[in-house]
Amino acid sequence: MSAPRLLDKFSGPQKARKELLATGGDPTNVILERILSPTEAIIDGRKTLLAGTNNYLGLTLYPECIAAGQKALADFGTGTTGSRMASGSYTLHGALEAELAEFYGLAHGLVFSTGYAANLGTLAALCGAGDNIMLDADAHASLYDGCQLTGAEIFRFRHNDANDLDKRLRRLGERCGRTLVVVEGIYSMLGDRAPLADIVAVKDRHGALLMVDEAHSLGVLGEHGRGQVEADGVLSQADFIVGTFSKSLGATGGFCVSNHAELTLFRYTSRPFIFTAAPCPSVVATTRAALHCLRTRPQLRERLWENARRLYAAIKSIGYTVGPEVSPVVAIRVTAREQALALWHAAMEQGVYTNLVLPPTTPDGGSLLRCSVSAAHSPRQIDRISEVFAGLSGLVHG
Amino acid sequence: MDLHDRERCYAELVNLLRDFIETEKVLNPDTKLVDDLGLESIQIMQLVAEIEDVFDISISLTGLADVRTLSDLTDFVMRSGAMP
Repeated sequence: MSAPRLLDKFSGPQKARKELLATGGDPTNVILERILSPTEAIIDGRKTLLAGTNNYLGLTLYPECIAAGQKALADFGTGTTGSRMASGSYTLHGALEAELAEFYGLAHGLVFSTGYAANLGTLAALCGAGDNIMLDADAHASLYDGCQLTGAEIFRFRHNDANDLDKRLRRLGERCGRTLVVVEGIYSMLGDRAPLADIVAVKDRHGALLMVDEAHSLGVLGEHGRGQVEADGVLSQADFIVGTFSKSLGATGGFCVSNHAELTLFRYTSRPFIFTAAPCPSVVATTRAALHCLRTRPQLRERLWENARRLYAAIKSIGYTVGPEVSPVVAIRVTAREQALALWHAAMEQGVYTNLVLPPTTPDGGSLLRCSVSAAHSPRQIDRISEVFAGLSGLVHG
Repeated sequence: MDLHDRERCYAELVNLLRDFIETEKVLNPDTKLVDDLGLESIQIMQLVAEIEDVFDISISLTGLADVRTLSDLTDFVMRSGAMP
């Protein structure tokens, strides 16, 4: 009998982890020992400025959000202990779904346990064998994973290129009637926005439907924070809008909103909705409080964008290659993986935490240090981030 | 491009593949795209986009996982071109 080989596939990741550890620590396993504020934590015993949290509005420690969570803990307990289909929904779940639909001015809303599940669940409900998905090439891994779950034919179009989408839909011909176009509002790696007005025009011309993932744009874009669909004036033409609670709303969970009544049937057809535990009451309560903050405090969005403009301009002026447009995601692009690792470690040693992103997760095969800006950052903190990277530019440009 | 002509299809794929690999690599129908040529997933995606444009066809990623060799790729592209 031959020896089991099932675990052989871990030899590659094991080798990669050893190589990462040899560089001075594992950037993918940072431990935040204590949270001091939305923008500061103790990491490795050292006070560290957080510039990679996606905490866009800085709501994670807002007193009203915490109070809402504490009250829900006391009123409803620690967990739901089951799926909504089998164990029932709490009034909180329905209330959040109604509030989300009302926020967008759409008819229906559905809450998922995570943003990842929202993407999987929406795709799995909408598409199946015989259907087609036309996916932006730079779409998030959760969208790719969701596509795999559907059994549909999966096609890609060139990132943010409405003309390329048009060409590829034309090739599908009559199959467009059973096609879902999938894009994001703001793309998570480089912070660039989808040209949604152009994409909507194309999908309408071919009779396809559109799903927009606003994970990084909810609370960030649009006059009322409704995302890129609002900023581009196409909210009512985006057939299904998906988002997460884990970024600008400072919680965990995800949602889908739509005017299509079929969304209400996802409860019976979407496996990632059905076969998982319902979101915790405290999490739903903090999300509702955070959504209220998002709606009533536009000054948070204004501060976020002041900080984004300040950091983007500073990092660019140092000479780093950054993403194509100003965004709360400020990506420092580095060609060589070794340089990116060195830059990340050096920034950490100087007390600035960012996200290190290595291939194949990056869009172009390069590496990047991904900074995300928060409304809670002070101008002094933004300047500190850029000072650190100015001092380290020799690691990349030397 | 006539997708009924397998030889021409193969030749065009070799031509497209040249942009993604070192010039001295020898290509034959049994050449493995990942194991022999070292193509990364992102390069395979870029190659697929080029193939779609050159042949004016749609290539679903669904069956791509089964493509190992240049010969497999030729068959896969010809099947994709024959799709309704």
